[in-house]
Amino acid sequence: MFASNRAPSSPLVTPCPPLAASEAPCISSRLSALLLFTSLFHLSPPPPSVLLLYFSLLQGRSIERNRDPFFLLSGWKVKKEMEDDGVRRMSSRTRKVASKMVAALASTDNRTQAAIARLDALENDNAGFEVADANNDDDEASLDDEEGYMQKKQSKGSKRKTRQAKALEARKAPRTFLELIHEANLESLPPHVPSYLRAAVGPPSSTSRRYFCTVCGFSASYTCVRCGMRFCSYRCQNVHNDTRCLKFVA
Amino acid sequence: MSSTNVVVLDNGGGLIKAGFGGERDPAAILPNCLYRSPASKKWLHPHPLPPTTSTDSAASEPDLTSAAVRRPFDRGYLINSDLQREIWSHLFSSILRINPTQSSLLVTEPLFTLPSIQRSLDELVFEDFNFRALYVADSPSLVHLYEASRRPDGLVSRAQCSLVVDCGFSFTHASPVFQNFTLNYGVKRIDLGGKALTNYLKELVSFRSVNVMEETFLIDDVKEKLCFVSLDVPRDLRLARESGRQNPFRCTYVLPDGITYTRGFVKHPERIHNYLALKAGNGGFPPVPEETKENINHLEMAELPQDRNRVDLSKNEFDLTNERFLVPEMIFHPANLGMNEAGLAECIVRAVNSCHPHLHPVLYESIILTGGSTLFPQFAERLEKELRPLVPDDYHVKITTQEDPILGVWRGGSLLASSPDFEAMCVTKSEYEEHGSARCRKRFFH
Repeated sequence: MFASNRAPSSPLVTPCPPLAASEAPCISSRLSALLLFTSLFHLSPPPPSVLLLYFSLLQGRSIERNRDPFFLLSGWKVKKEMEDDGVRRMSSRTRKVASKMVAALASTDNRTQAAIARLDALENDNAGFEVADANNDDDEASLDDEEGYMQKKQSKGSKRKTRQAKALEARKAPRTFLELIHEANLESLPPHVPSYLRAAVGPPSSTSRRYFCTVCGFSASYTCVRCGMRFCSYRCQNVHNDTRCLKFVA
Repeated sequence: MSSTNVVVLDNGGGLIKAGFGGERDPAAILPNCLYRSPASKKWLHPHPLPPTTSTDSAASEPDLTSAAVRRPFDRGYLINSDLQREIWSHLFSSILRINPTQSSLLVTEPLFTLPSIQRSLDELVFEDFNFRALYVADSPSLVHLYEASRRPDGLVSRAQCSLVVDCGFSFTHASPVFQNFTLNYGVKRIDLGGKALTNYLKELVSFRSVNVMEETFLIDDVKEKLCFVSLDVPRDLRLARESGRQNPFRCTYVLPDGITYTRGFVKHPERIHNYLALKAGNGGFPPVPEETKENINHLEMAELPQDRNRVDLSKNEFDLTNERFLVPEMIFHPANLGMNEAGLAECIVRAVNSCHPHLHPVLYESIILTGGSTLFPQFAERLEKELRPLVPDDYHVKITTQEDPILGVWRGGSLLASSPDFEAMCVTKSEYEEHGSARCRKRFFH
């Protein structure tokens, strides 16, 4: 039940894992462990006020694992709230997942994929084309470090980037905001601390919405069977099928 | 000390507003990006916007068509500090012409900035530019300060509390402010802003007429000139289908061709405001000049019997009818777009509800609109119309717009910088070097 890599020195006391602050602690099991411990050693159980204090501290802090098997009675080390780097260290290796794979992993449905891809497209700066710097560089035009590095690698005239060069470039590129949020690990903060994720306004109170035809913009009544986009008339459906059914996904 | 001057920098995702403390207007408003024309290979700094609406000679403006854009901000937060450093060094050396080592800096930061981003900003200010002192403010408290000082006997300054609705470039926040402190727990955010609106308009126009997916600056211009907020969407949709003079919305925008004109413009500027004649009921239509155009079919541009008012395909123009009001509609109902977020009215209600109940009536009565995306015509009316049914009957709802929503935060910063105890509130460089970024940040309370 308790993940631990230290063998308990006494078989009667189960070592407790460090508590994340927002975890509902296994209070009942701790309480039982405490009471078992005190009864076995013929000690009087601690008064309720001490217990209350102990558990309230459990709520707010993370407790460092202690070698002392008698830690329940003799003081306990309490680790302060997470500093900047956090208690949990996440791996900083950037995991490369293609953006469409991410959307595909999120759902297997064509329609939701198309919707997600469309919403993501609202957030990019340069739509429609990738800013392909490294391949078209001249000597006088490069301004960035990574481009300069790329040039040295390509001075032999090869235009293809090696896998190593790509990895290097990916690491030097600034991390996107989503990666930073993921690293900051905001879910582990206690619920009274406001954070970026908690400030989001959340889903609307009513799920009723208007549907607009994606071709002409007026009120839509019908749905495309393949991709789920709306259209208003037969003419718009033809346009849709010719030009953009499943365009974002395929 | 009078020898140090304070540089006030409103570091926004779309525009940087920079100037000196104590002045009324910023010295420079600069797009916060580097752009590159497809012809050239260098990344250039954009020209600052003219602070007053003076007619600019077209020859001095660079050609911005199909320009690729690199921004140091992503989703509203500063992630690329190298790029920001370049932009700032250009700003400080060529445009403002200051020496950072002798000045203090007041910079704005969005709410809920991550500690790693805060640290990189501190490094940028103290280690790269060597400013003497730094004060980091958040936008809602600056807006509140400015509005309170403008009307010393109004409700905002007497109650010392207001609800600031900031529709910016990257997102929209509804933030309650009490006694010049933003109440962190009450802030609600919608992830839609000017950038998403521009991208949506690009998508609509590209699917229906001309491919403009790469023309960020151009479509920004279209959005600012032609889009408005409709007060009654079903009626306007019905009207937009009409042809000819019954359609008060149709406007044509001409794209630049690089030879005769480098910037786009609206074809018949006198028709932009025709929709204003429509009242909430059934208003009359103003006389529209003679134009019998049949309905534009999406695929074909029809040949017209009349010579003038013909949509000329060789000139690269496109028409906008319902896109004009459907694009800002996104802020009020993101669900119409498929996003699972509540609209602006509900965002305000949720923000107010997360504060103490005694504050509710005061907050509803002092709603301040700020941010560039509130400049759409009829925005405040529509917001009041949407908000009124959601608010209990005995509370008044009063929405005030700032006189200049883009500069509102900057002016508040300028006011704060000229206050006598500003110097005491800053973090100096020596304190930063001694204590590090995290402890210095704790002085700013957010």
